[in-house]
Amino acid sequence: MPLKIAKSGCAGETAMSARRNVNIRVPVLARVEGEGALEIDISGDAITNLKLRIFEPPRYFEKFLEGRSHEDVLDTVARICGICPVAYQMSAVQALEAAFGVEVDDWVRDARRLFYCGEWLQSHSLHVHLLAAPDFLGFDNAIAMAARYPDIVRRGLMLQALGNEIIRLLGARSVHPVGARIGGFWRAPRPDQVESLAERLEAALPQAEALVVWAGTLPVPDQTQPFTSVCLRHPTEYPMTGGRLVSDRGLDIAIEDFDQHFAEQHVPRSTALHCLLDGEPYLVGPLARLNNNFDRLEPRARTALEQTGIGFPSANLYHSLLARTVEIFQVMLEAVALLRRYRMPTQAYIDYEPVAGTGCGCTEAPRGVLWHRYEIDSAAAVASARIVPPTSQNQARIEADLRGSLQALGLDRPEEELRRRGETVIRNYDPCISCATHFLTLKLRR
Amino acid sequence: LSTPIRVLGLGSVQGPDRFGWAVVDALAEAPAFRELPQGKVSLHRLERPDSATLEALCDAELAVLVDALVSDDAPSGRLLRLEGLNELAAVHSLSTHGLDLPTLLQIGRALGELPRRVIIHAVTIDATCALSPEASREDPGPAVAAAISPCIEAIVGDLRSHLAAQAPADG
Repeated sequence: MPLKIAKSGCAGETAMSARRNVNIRVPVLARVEGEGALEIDISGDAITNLKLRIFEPPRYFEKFLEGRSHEDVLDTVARICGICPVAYQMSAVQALEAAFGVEVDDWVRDARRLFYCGEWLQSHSLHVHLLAAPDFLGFDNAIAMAARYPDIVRRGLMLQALGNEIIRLLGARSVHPVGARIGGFWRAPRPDQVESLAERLEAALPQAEALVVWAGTLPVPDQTQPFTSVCLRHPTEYPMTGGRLVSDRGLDIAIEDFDQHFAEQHVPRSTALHCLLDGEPYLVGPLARLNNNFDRLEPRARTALEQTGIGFPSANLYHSLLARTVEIFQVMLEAVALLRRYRMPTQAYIDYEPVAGTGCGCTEAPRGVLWHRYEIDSAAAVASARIVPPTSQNQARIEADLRGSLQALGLDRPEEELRRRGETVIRNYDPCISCATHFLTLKLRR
Repeated sequence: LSTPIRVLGLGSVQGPDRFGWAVVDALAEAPAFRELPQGKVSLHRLERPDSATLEALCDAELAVLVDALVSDDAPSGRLLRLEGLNELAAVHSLSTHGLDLPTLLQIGRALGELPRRVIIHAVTIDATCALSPEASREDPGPAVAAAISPCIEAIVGDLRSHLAAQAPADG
């Protein structure tokens, strides 16, 4: 990713009257994926306006795909995000294979899960150590945190690198990988590559386990709130590459029935669509997954979480960071097991014949549910595409959380404290604004 | 990664962002580079800034980083040379993904894992070009491609002067 010469810094603008009308502006949110702004108006003891604005330009990926060969889809959707390209490829391939009636074999299923484990590992490690943890430890950024907690930051960078290695093993490179194809992968990794990575991951397991315990000691606000947790649920696996869409409030549907319960809508302040479940905000991502799937954790990951003394399901959104660390340990355990049982296949994909049809795909990106739907025409080209990323699903929930969290903190608190809490709330969701555009700067008036 | 001097090209396969890799590849073939003392300088191609980048910098004496830099003001192809992290303060990343090169280098400094000298050679990319179809082509485009040879000359110049300054100590 290229650098850019700065034209101006980002800074909050403040104005406070004797009547406690406060005006806060965060023109560009730091430590989030992408560009967005927060605008809050407070008049006395009421929030009169609160907007999480997403202003990155719309990217029209769905339109770009129309008319292109079905074979272009995986490499195109990988470009939507530099940090979760595997998620885009896996939801897309699932949808296309559903459209073509392709059933992959166990080798491909295992390899895809391993590929996805790598993405969760690198994405979660980056977010926990460099984006979110500074908020809870009182630092402005990871640079300041690194000086005080060097070993924690080193551990985070090491885990992120291991995640990138897994992606590279199957995807040829960690950024916008090119290894996946319909039916499987273009090539299978050599056993010696697999063995070497398995050894490195296995050696790092104690550090991942210690990370969970460390996350449980972080001083997060003690604040609960009502919300609906939505995620995939699989009969036996921790949710990632398949299952039914469920919530902790009774939703239990096949992924093909998404449109019957979920609806996207435009809002003027955002280039991202807001997605609601039966008209209400909901949560996707690590906390939602863990709330609904504690019983699907690997025994060692469950034990590590239990050692923290923090119970799940949790109604404290700040336990999202702890949930991410549990998922880091979970995917490392899974990745070691998958690598240890690796066998070189004669062919890394199964052959298929494209046919006209429609298919849905739904997997768990690091940030939550990622739903795709493709209609393929008789020329094997994309007739229509729909992509619902996790951040657009979390947007309404983030705004509801901001409103509740700032009220709970106290609207009479100093403006800087309100601004910091607002940014902490948003970063806690690990929003990927670039993916959602189809977004942060804080404006506060009171 | 055992050489005291390392040249690290950062980039990707696409468009002008390929510059860092293209310079490292061309350096490997450049007679002026091949004339440098054996075993002192190594060349590396890296993807996104991450711990692998810090690992590549660790215990080095001098690190030369080569990257592309999007500018709102400069046309594509202008070469910039920055030395030390303070000069990087004027640069912020286009990366929307949390860990950019300036941040990574500052974390490296906080961790005490940076070489004594860090030099950055960068080529500017016009902001409109960065968003154009040209950015997704495999070649870096004519203006950026034209900057590869002068960049190699500048890097070899830095390497020669650093080695010359080290020579009395080595002797």
